[in-house]
Amino acid sequence: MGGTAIRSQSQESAASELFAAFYPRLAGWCRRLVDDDGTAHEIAAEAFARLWARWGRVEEPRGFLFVTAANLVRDHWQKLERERRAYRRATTEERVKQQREETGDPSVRLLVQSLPERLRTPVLLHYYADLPVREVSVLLARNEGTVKSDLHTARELLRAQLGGRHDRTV
Amino acid sequence: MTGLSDDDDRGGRPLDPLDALLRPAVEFLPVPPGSFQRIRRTAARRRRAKAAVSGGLAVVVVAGSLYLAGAFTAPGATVVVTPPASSGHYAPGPSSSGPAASASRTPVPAPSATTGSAQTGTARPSTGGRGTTGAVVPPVDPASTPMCATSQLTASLGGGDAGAGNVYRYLLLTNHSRTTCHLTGFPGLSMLDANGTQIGVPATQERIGYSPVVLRPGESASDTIHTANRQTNSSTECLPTSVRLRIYPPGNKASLLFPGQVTDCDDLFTVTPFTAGSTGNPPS
Repeated sequence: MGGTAIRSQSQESAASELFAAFYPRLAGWCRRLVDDDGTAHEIAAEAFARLWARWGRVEEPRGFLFVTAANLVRDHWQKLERERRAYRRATTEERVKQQREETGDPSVRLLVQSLPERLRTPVLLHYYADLPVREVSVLLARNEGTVKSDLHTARELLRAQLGGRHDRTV
Repeated sequence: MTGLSDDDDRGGRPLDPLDALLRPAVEFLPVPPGSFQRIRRTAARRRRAKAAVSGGLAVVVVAGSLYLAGAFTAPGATVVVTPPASSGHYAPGPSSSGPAASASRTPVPAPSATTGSAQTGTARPSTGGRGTTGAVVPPVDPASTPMCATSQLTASLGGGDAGAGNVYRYLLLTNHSRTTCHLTGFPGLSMLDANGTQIGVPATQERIGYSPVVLRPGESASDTIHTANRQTNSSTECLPTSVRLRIYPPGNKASLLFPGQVTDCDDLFTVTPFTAGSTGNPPS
């Protein structure tokens, strides 16, 4: 259906290049956010599947992959949280607390979880997908100045949260 | 890096805890073997499904207007807008109901209009074991064949495909009788444990377009069962794996039992309508 053999061949090789260049990094990033390699691979794979299912309509695949993966990770956490709530009804609070602490790298989770969507996306694109501010601004249809200020606000928010967290643990 | 203000921050405070957070040591996970091809296949399948759905919508629009036109000019025509899947009140008697019998039972204004009625009938299926009776649905009959009765059919699980946490199994219905017949739409499908007790709820319909599939003796039609892999260690994520499956062929109230192991995780247990061949729908 649709598309000449030549076009689909070049699409295929472009896809293959993108995958080789970017999958290990995306999966590695997911791994910091979830409990195990298997889930990280599944989320990274799902992000690629969603990208390619709509191939041709995504202008910046790297940004798309990171934002999609971040959303999938957030869904994953929400699912875990629902399960924990159900679990909590059936067992002691102690074990639930233990389980929570085992999930992912708390500082990176904090990042994705705590920021409002408007700030989270530029942070993901700029810091994790390594896109220059100019490209982020094009992707998000915001001014460069706005993106810089968003990044700054995000840093301040995170700094405040980190401080609070350290106070609590000390 | 072209981030301006950030670079200043970093330079000044090398021990800023934010740096560890925002500029993590890059970590790479190796690509699992075969994953590229697997993900490409999944994506291609989704593209096809999307195309089928949007194509189906176009058919609905066109057929809907044809149907309206037909309804105004021929007020005697009655078309019940429900999917034939498991709501049929069809008495299984394939050999007695020849072409003439079924033709007299189907005062259908135009073939395309019936496609439309099937398409729009996307209400929740009255699947497996509930014994609900829907309206009488005249069998769509493009090749002057009767609807396949349960007694004519053999059910089995065919091959499958998996990727990105998804599991796809093909469900085959084979016409083992000597009579040519047809299948239209979705089956009712439920999972049973070793005691024959139903596990969870019946499969929901994955809404893609369909049309009647004619089965000559020995031929098979198939659909695709879609479930998800286990994602976590939570005991509540997945239902027990089935030992057998119960299928109500489209339009039939008698079911078939056959061995099949399917696991419903994350409440994902869907089935597509039947299409020709034995590699699921959309065929792979």
